[in-house]
Amino acid sequence: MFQTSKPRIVPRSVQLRSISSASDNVQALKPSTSNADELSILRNMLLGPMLERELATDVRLREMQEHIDLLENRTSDYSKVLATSIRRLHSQDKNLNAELEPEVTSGLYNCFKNQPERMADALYPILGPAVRKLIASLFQGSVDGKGTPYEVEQIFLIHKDTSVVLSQCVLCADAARDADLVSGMLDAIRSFVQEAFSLPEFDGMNSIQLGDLSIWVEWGPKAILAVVVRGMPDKDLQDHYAEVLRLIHERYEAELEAFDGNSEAFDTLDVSSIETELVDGGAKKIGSKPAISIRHIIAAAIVFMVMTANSVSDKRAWNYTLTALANEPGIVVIEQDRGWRQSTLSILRDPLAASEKTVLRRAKIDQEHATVRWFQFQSQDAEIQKRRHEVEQSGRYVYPTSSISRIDNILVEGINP
Amino acid sequence: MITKKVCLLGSVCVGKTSLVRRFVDSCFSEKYQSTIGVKLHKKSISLDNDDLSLILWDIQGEDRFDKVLVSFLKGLSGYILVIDVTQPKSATVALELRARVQNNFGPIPYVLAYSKCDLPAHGDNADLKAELESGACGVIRTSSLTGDGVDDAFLCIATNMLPSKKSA
Repeated sequence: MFQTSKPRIVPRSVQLRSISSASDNVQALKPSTSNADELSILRNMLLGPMLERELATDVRLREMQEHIDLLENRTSDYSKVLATSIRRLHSQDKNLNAELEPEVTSGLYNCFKNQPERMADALYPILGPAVRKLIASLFQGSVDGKGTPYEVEQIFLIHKDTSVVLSQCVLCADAARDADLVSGMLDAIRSFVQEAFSLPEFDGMNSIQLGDLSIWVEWGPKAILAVVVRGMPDKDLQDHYAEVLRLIHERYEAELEAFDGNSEAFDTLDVSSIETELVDGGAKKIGSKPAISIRHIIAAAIVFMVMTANSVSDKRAWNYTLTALANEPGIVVIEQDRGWRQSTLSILRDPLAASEKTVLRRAKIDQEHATVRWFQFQSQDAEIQKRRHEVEQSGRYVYPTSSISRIDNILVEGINP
Repeated sequence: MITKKVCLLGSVCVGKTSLVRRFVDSCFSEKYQSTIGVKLHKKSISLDNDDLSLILWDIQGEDRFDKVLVSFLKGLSGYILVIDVTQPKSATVALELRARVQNNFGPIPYVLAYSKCDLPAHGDNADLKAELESGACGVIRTSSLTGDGVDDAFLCIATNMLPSKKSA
C-alpha cells in the first residue's frame, strides 16, 4: 500500500525519479501483466497531467533557447522595444542624454567628416537663408553691398497700361510664382499707394523689400520689368536690368504700342537671352543707340579725366625731382623709372654731397611712392672738389668704400686715389 | 494666349466674392482684400479656338464709406456689374460705378449679373435696372449657391472682350 505523508517540496527531477522507483517497486512486487496495465493506468491518472505540462514546458524552453541563440531574433526583439525603452528611460533617468552624448557626437563628427556633402544638403535649408541674411546684414549700409551673394529668382516683363505679363523668366524653379497674379498684385499695391497717399505724379514704386527678398521694378515708357531677387545684390545689377528694359523697348516698340492683351507677339522674347547678349557685348551692334547707358559714359569720362589729371600732375612732379637732383652737387641719377603707383631711382652720391635726407627733401621725393637706391662714388663736380680739397687740408676726408660698381647694366667708374 | 483684366464691381455684400470663387482656378490670397481692397483670381478658358486667361479683380464693395479706387480699374478690358436681388440699393450703387468707369475709361463692355437669385427678390427699381440692362452686353441671373448662371456670366464677358468681337 502507498504510504500517505505530508506534502513536501522536492526538486522535479527527484520527484520523477521517486515516482519511477515507486512504480518499479510495484511492478517488482506484482509482475503480472494485468497488474502492470492497471498500474500504468493508475500512473497516468495520477501523473499524466503533470507529465504533459512538464513536456510542454520543456518544448517551450527549447524553443525559447533556440530563439535567443539567434542574433537576428534578438535584434528584432530589441528593435520592438528600443524606442519605448528609451522614452521610459528618459522619463526616469535624466542622465541618459549624458550617456548618449559621446556616441551621438562621435557619430555626427564622422558623418560631417565622411559625408560633408550630405550634411551640407541637410543643413542647407536652414543655413542657406541664415547665411544670406547674416551677410546681407553685414553689408547693409556699407558702400553698395558689392560682392554679396544673391540670386535672381524670377523676372517679369509687364505691359504698363494693362498690367498683363508679356513674358517671364523663371531662374529658380522652386520659387516660381504665378506671373499674372504677381503682376496684378504689384499693380494693385501701386494703385493703393498712389491713391492712399495722393501721389498724382507717382510713376510707380521701384522696389519692395521683405527680409532678404526684394522685388525691383524698373519702369519704362510702355513696359515694366519686375525682378525678384533674394539676397543683397550690388547696384550694377539694377543698372543692368534697366539696360535690358531699354533694349526690349527698342526692339518691341511697335508690339508694345499695339498690345491688346494678346501676348503672342512676345512669345519670342526671352529676357535671359537679352541679358546674355548684353553681357557678351552683342547688344552694341543692335539698334541705333549705344548699349552703354549715359550713366556709364559719364562715369567712364569722369574716371578718364581724373586719371589724366593725375597723370599730368605726376609727370610735372617727377620732372621737378629729376631737375632738382641734377642740380644737386655730388649727386648723379643713373637710373629712373616712373611707375603708376611706385617709382624707382638709382642715385650715385659723393660722401661730400648733401645728406640723403636733404637730397630727398629738396627733390620732393615721396618715399611712400618711390624706391631710392643709393651708391657711393667720387664726384668730379667743381663744388665737391672744392669741398674735398678743404677736407683734405683738414685731414678728415674719408674715401668711398667702392668707387667702381656695377649697378644693373650700368658701369659706374670713379676716382679712388 | 490672350490675357484680359476683368473687374467685379458692385455694392458691399452683393456676392461678388462668392460669384468669382464659384468660377476660378486659383486665388492669390484672401488677405489682400481687407488690406488694400482687392483680391486677385485667375482663370484660363478656351473660347472659339482662343486661349484666354482672365485676371479677375474682386474689388472691395462700395458703400458710402469706401469708394472703389479708380486706379484699380486701370487697364480693365471688361467688368461684371453685380446687383443683389435682395438689396434694392445695390442697383443705385451699380449705376454710380458704371458711370465712374465710363467717365474714366470710356465704353468698356460689361455684364449685368443679378446675384442671389435663389432667394426671393426685394424691391423693384425697374427704371434703374432697365437703364443698366440697356448698356450691358449680357444680363445674367446667377446664384452662387446653386451655381446657376455663374459660368455664363464670365463666359459672356470673355466673349465680348475678344478682339474679334470688338472689331465686329
